[in-house]
Amino acid sequence: MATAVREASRRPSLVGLAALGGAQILAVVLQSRLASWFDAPSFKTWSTIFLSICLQALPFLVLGTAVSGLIAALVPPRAIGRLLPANPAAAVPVAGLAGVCLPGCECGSVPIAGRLIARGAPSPAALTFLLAAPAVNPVVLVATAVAFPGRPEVVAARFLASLTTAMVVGWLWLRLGREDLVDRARRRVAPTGTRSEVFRATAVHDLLHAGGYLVVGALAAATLQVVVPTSVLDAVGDAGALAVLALAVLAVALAICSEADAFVAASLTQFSTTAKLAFLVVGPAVDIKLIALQAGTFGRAFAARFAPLTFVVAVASAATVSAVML
Amino acid sequence: VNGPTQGVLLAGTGTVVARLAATGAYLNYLKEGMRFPLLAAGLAMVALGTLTLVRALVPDDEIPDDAAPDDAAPDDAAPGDPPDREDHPGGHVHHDHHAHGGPRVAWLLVLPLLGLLLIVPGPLGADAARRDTTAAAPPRAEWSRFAPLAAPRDGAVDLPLGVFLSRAYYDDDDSLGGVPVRLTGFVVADPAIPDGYRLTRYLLTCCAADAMPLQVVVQGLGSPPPADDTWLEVVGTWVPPADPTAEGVDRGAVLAVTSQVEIPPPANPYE
Repeated sequence: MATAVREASRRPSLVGLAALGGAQILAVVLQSRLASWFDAPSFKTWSTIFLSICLQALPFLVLGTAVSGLIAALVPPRAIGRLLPANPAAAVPVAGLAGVCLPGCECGSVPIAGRLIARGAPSPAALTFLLAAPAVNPVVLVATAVAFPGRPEVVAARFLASLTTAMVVGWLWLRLGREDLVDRARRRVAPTGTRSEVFRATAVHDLLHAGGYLVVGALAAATLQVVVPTSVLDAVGDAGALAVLALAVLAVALAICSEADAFVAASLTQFSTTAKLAFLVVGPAVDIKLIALQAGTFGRAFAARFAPLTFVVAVASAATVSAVML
Repeated sequence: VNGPTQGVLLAGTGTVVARLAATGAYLNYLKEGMRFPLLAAGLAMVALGTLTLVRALVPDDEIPDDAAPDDAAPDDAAPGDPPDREDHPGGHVHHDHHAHGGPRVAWLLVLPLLGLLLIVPGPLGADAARRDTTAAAPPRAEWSRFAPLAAPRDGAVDLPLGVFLSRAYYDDDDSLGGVPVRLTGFVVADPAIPDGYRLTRYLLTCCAADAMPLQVVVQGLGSPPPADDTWLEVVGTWVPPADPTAEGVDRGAVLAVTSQVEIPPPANPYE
């Protein structure tokens, strides 16, 4: 049956292409008239935020899928498994430290982690890399230092709590996770042919795939930003543990980049430093845009387990580090 | 999403994105430093899309069979392994879902594309500022002494709203006292300020999703405030806090206006 479907789609089916081309031409012709239909202020605010999230993530996504394409084209299957320590528990901290060296954004690290798993990296190590790369790289740490001037302990606490989160989740996944949950990434069809063709096909596939899920995440994040009034935050600002949880949930809902979140955290003046740290540790590890990207790359069953696990570990790690250091 | 459509989708999105970066319209959504990454990403998408389109339209018999991307073995199969589909019971479904190599979810990329072609929303304005009720403060400087203000131009010192707010909140020496300053922002009317409005400009770190409204209360207008989202250059002097013991954000930021001019929206609407 699969063969029949593939035979059918092999025929020059240009309907979708024609529809898309037609829509683009129509859009250009009707631009000024249609623009006035979408004039409601709240709709404009929503669409500005939606497009901002998409555009902000796009360069990092393109970079991430290019790296993913390079891995597929140049790295032989299973080579990555051989680079890491044979003991999967020891591979986790190695992956965490690899994430420190790679300045990236959370959107770019999802396709890279998916490709690493497809190329034979053990899933706990790949997931640790996924969590560490956007959270503890030099760019993020410098941004945090700028947002919290004169408070290097906040930078140190962020580094420690995020790295701890990434490694603890990796080790927990080693014990609790099931390999079949990341099967979708492992099962991915690898294009064959010349190296440049493998690169092109992999990059295009990952870009379309991750790009589609990025749109899902951006739709949700923009809607939450516009619909949920920020005044709900004022109610819990000085409520201790509740405030920590509130900012952790806010980090999931806002889905802002790890390079920017320190400035937003610093501006939430009514909250304790512990709550701000929870915001900084949770944001790059689990937010609504990332959940969509991970569901797309690894499957929904994976995301449904991985996101809550990461959230709990991140909040616990932020609270512990804060109690010791801040 | 079949091969040719993938190509058109990527090249179309890439063209629109590259055009945003080239014309400067991206400034409504992103920080200035994002221009080059955005342009590079757009051009890369155009290149990838064009290649994909060309490859999809080349007749099948000109492509060697083993190069067809949809016929490949799963990644983890070693090169010598025979393609054993029984090992991957989900594989068939996967292939059906990904008819001809393209994930169906990619259709959603049409949404931002249409948004950039049809809606073309402007920068965040008064509507967004009303939703954001938390008082935003620029990061508190570790020093409490500020450098002397720049020389005045036409009798007033030009100051970004963020700098005005930092000095109003944190400057122990009250360097703003008695100095005419010129601020640029847009109007957000507030019923609680009958004699004025909130002069507002957003502070961006990366993109409009992380924007924070910087707001100065402008008072002493003597006339009804201009319409929401009107861009103004306002000249006036800082009003010291009523409570001299107040600290930080609680000191407030109020400007007694002496003159204001309507200006066209600046190329970069954010600070």
